[in-house]
Amino acid sequence: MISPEDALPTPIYNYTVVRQFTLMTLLWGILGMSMGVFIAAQLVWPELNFGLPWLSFGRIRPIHTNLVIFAFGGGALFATSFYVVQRTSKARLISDSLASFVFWGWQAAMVAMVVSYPLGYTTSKEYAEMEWPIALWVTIVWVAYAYLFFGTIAARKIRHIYVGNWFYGAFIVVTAMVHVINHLALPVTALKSYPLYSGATDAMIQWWYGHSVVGFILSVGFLGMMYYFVPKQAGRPIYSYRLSIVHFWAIIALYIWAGPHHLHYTALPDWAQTLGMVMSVILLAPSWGGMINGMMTLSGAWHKLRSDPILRFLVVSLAFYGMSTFEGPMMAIKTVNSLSHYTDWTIGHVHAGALGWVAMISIGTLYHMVPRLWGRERLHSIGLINAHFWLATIGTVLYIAAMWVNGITQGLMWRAVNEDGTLTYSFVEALEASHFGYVVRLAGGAVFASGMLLMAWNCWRTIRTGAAEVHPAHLKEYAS
Amino acid sequence: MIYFALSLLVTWISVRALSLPADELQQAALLPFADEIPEEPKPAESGALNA
Repeated sequence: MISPEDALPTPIYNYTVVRQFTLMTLLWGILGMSMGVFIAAQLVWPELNFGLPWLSFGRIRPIHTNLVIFAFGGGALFATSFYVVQRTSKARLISDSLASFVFWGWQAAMVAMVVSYPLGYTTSKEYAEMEWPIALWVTIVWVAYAYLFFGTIAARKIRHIYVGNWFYGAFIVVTAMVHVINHLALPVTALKSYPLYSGATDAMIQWWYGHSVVGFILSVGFLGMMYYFVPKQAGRPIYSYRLSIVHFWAIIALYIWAGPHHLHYTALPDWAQTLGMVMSVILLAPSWGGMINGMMTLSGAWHKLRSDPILRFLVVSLAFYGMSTFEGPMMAIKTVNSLSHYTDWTIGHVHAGALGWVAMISIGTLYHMVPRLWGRERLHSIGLINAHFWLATIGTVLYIAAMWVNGITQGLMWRAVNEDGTLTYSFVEALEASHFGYVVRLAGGAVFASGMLLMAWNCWRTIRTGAAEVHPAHLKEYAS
Repeated sequence: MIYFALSLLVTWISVRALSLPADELQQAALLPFADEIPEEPKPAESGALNA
């Protein structure tokens, strides 16, 4: 069997690194979500930690969060940014060896995280748990990635830099900045360090980083993805290019200020909390600018949703993006936050974004890219994509609805007081009231993760299709 | 102060974006559709591209 690579001259674009990241995105996605299902099961049946320290919730949860954010989400961003920057710049990545270094370097960092967390090596900073040698290595890989991306932009063969690349560029620059600053630490042993900051300053730096990860990786990066793949799949140019420019700069100017809303009613100065709240509320406008721009791109093409499940993934992801970027500013309001903070509502909000927006747009995008990357006419089974779409949608809705109910229940039970000022409910009573919600959350997560298995099977079957079945149009595209 | 400066910057960029010529924006919006068949590499470039 002759593969497209053997049969054709070297393509202009470096698709090797895109294919590598695509496959690893799928693999890490399955692993990361499976970990999520496992820890969700632990919350239903605590016996599932088997009394082993390295299987305890506290050690496994960072594996779940880091794998889905950095290995799955990050992998999707690497794959798509390399795909988009080459195609919209009409230029090959400036260095194949550096691209290979970025791929293998990133995978090494992911493996190091997966191994070190269960063993108890952690900074204990949420989403920044990696100890200093891993953080240092991630920085080196990230600088190589930035050089590769911006170098390819510099080598572009057309004057205009497409808006999707602006979003990817901002994601790369700001992620580097917040990663380096938040990880500044004094190493005391080969795998232990202490942060340079202390007390409320440390907390503020951490959540400045934490919310910027939400903002610049999970929002801005994926908006870059949206700006290429939604028009492409819909077959229509973006609704308003002007709006894309305005909301890009607005989102860049605002997102970095929203971190303090994670620290409402803490030792953080009150003015900083209020500033974070105000900035978070204002952030609704540019966030919805992106959502509306994506949605309106379908004007006159809505009928395609009937027959195109990939487009359905992309559009529903935008709907979840709109919903969670409304919910986020609302939860950042201090009075709302006094009810929602520390409850499962926050977990529900995060997963409305993580499953509904990040995962669903990544899934739609990967489905779009896979046949093109491997020179196939189409995916192995459209029916399986359809089934995956419904599993993902139902799974997400089950998850977030369960967490909404749990969160509000917990918030109300925690704040209820008797006439004499004592608490009406103990913490354990609120926990018992949450048990059914945990069961529903587990079901939702499992349903979502099962869809990923369908996807892996579908993509694998597509890739394994013989060269004889390769569509000539895609071969031409691949070869040219 | 920083916020004020940022607001001015974003306002200025927004005004600039709103005054950009329509045909230029239209061309930019069509970029994802012009990427199917990239231009052929020139002979001098092909070596470097394939390296």
